[in-house]
Amino acid sequence: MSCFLLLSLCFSCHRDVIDLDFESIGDQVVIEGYITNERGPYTVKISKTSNYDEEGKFNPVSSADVYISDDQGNYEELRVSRPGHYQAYTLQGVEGRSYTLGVTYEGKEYTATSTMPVALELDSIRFVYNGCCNGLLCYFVDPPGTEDYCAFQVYINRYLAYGFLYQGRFTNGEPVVWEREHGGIQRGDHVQIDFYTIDKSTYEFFSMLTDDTDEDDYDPKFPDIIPIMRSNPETNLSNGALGHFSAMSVRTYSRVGP
Amino acid sequence: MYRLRKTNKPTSTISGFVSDAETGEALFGTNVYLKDQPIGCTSNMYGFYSLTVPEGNYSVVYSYIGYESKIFEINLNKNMISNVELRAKPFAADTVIVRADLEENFVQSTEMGTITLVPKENSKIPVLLGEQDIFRVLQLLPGVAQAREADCVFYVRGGNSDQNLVLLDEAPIYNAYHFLGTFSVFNADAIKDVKLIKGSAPARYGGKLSSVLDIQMKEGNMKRFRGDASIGLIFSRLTVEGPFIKDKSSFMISGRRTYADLFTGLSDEEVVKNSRLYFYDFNVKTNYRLNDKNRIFLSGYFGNDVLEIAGDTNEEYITNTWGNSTGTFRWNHIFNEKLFSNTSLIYSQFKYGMKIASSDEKIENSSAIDDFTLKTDFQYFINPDNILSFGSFYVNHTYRPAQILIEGNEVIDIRIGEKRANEAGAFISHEWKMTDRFKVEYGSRYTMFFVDGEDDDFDMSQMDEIPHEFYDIELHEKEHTLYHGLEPRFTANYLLTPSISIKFGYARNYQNVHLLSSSTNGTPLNVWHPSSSRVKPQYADQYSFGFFQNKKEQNLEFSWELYYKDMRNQIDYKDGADILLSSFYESELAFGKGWAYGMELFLKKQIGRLTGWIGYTLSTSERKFAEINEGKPYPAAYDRTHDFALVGIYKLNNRWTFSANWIYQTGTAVTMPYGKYIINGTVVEAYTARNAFRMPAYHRLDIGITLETQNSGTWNFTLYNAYGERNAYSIYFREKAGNPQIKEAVQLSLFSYVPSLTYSFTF
Repeated sequence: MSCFLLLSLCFSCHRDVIDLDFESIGDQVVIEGYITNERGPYTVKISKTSNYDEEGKFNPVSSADVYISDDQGNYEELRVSRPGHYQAYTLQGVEGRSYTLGVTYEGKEYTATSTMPVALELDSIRFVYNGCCNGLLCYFVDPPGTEDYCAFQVYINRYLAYGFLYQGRFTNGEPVVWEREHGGIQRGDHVQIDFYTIDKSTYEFFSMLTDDTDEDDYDPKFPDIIPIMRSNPETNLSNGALGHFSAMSVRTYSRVGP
Repeated sequence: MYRLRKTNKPTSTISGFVSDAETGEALFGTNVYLKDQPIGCTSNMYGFYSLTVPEGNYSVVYSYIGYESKIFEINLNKNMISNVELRAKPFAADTVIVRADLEENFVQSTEMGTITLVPKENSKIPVLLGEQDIFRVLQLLPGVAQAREADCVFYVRGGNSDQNLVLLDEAPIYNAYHFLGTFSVFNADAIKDVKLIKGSAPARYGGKLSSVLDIQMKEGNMKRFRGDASIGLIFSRLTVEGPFIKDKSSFMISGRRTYADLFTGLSDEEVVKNSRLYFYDFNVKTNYRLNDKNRIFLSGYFGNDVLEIAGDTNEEYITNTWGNSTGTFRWNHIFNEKLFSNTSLIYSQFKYGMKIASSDEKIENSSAIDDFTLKTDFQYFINPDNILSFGSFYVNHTYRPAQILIEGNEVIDIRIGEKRANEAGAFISHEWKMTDRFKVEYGSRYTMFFVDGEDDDFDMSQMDEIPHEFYDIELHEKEHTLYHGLEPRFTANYLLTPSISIKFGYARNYQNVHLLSSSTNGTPLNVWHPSSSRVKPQYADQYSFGFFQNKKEQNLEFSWELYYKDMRNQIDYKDGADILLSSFYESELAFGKGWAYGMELFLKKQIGRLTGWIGYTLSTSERKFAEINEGKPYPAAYDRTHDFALVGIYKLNNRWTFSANWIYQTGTAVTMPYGKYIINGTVVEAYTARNAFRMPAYHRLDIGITLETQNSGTWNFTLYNAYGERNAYSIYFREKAGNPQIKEAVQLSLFSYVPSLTYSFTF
């Protein structure tokens, strides 16, 4: 609001397009890797950032050396399946194990470690009718004494409809319900719920990622009188890489809309 | 000056008050010395001086820069009270000036990093929209950095903006800005003088790390009624002062108010017609000299910003109020010719209130700060080589950070826990001229700070959907914490010649009140909090070294100062923190350390047809927090490598004066998105490390012309940003026209070629 007033006072404002020079920063490596308890292969995507004045797209890096190892002595070097995508075929994701990702590219080494938590299960899934279609209710128990982090991905007719991140710092042992009132589920729709249990680092990464891509509050016409503290989401990768390596356990549930 | 030689002769003291012959205002810093044997002292801020010398015949000289000196022949054989009035010199550009004036405080005192401003002198400096403002003049001095364009917020020697102690007649002012941060609350017509001490303040000051800005209101003309009035682009001002009883009691009343809202009623548009925006500042002061030994002063400041925007219907509106109030009662008491005391009772309040109403919802937010202070200060003038200062203080603080009421489909009442703090302490300091050339001032301050806090009253179960930001914050619980600390202070001055000296200083400062969200000055998010169990007191150690010289022939003062400041328990936001919440919630904050060092050059000319100064600062200010920037050091937000200002005022004759400023500053350090990448199928912006990008350098020229008319009127014309440099206020991104996939960077610049005209007159 004060932005509006300041600008209305300013009768000699100018807006000029300028060129920003980020030469000194250059391109950064982006690494996105997942390993789950489901059958492989597991994929690690490696790309480079585009410049601010270019289209946001995937700039594949296909000449990196990538490996994943676990704390039981297993080790696999990943192979390029398509540009920027590296796959692990023999490694098996197991709940409770700790996995390490290593990437070497252009002389720099990037590593990250993630422990796959033991999966939490949904107790029950219900539908609630809200006039036009169905909403979704998922019940599960957050075990006491541990900090648990979960993520939901809901697919309706194989199309990713919505997702949610949950963090269990404030609940302990009580049943938790995640509700999506406007679930948009029609009769006969095929609903698949992927219920992930993730580690803290993965939760924080995706939590901050949501903030960065949520541009609702940011009106480019008015300058930041109240600046928003934006930064890259917290990563578990070393050496300045962007992205994250996440070991997640998942339980999948299928239902049909009533 | 020569040291007093030990003698067996009995001594006597000459003491009294020095004041301005025309107005009766106290003259602070007058030099009182013996003509043949340069032994002397300076008057304190109430104009009181005390000089103890062996009995005998002397010529006593009273001199103050810009005033005609007086010399009295006395035969000192017992204690003597001599109250002296000095007359301001009429303007004369010739060279017959008493040189001794200039040699004094600047070179010979133990003051370091200190600059004194006299609003009268600065009234000719061209400023934005013609509204003379102390804070804008401060930003032209070395060591003081401006925030953004048109912002009155200032940063001293790489410290944060909440580290400046702003005092008006000893009352602390928390948010010394009007609502948008474009104007300070200080009406220059009501101010007598301003002193900025950049970190190495004597022990009687404390509470903030980076600086003390000590502002004294005018007491009121003791001799005759007079007034000033003016109309500028933004404010209209009126000041009236005069005696109640000539030479015994006087008053000053000064007010200013914006007047643009008088015209909004003329608008055709409903919204503008029913909207109001106005600011006002009101200063009032009175004093009474009971007798030679007792004087009392009562002063107050009241200011408010009101914003009311009417909506389309009666149910829709926004109202906002914001303002400070202070009241100070002071009693000067002279115990004897050597012992001077001042006792003050001070009340200071800041209040903010906001209401937003629409047809289905109403949101109300209010916050307040109340401070009540009782303090005493003593000065014991043992002899010209030894002055002992000591005193004690007690402050009761109450902070109500926020009380939010949301009435809509659901009623949500959020009360952020009130905090009360009791602060008490004492200080002692000794100013000692050890030899002819070597003088020290050393001492210490000790403060205890005891905080009592309520827990937050915040019922989340009332909300249908809890915003995910609220998951991570930790609400306040009941609090009961005590902090205390010793703040040693030390300055040493070595005279190489009577007009050249080198000085060294050390000071430790603690700070117990903090702005958690320091980049939101001038907005309702400017919320002050006391220290707590989680937010520990900030503290800093500053070391400074300087070279000071008076060049008598050219009427120049030159100083060169180096400083190094080590700051601990500094506050900043965690990466990804919500700025709104971090104004209130400590869990959004990170704590770490900072350091700043730099070199300041200052060349000032105070006398002659051409006056002004050149200031240059070369400096660095950095922070290091474990949770920010991966624990690597990063530049502070207002780190400015180069900061240069040239101010010139040329008085052509009795009617015309021309002035100009030229400023150059390195750009602000900001965090910017430099690129994009894809995660999980979504395009994400990639950000630089914290504050790793520099905005373009800032420079502008302002010019001013003043015309004094025959009938005591003055026309003042200014042109801000005379060559129209488009200085970046902010850089943001928008979609390129025709290709929404691509963004372009746009620079917003605010003011170029802004003229203003002000008319003022005295009566």
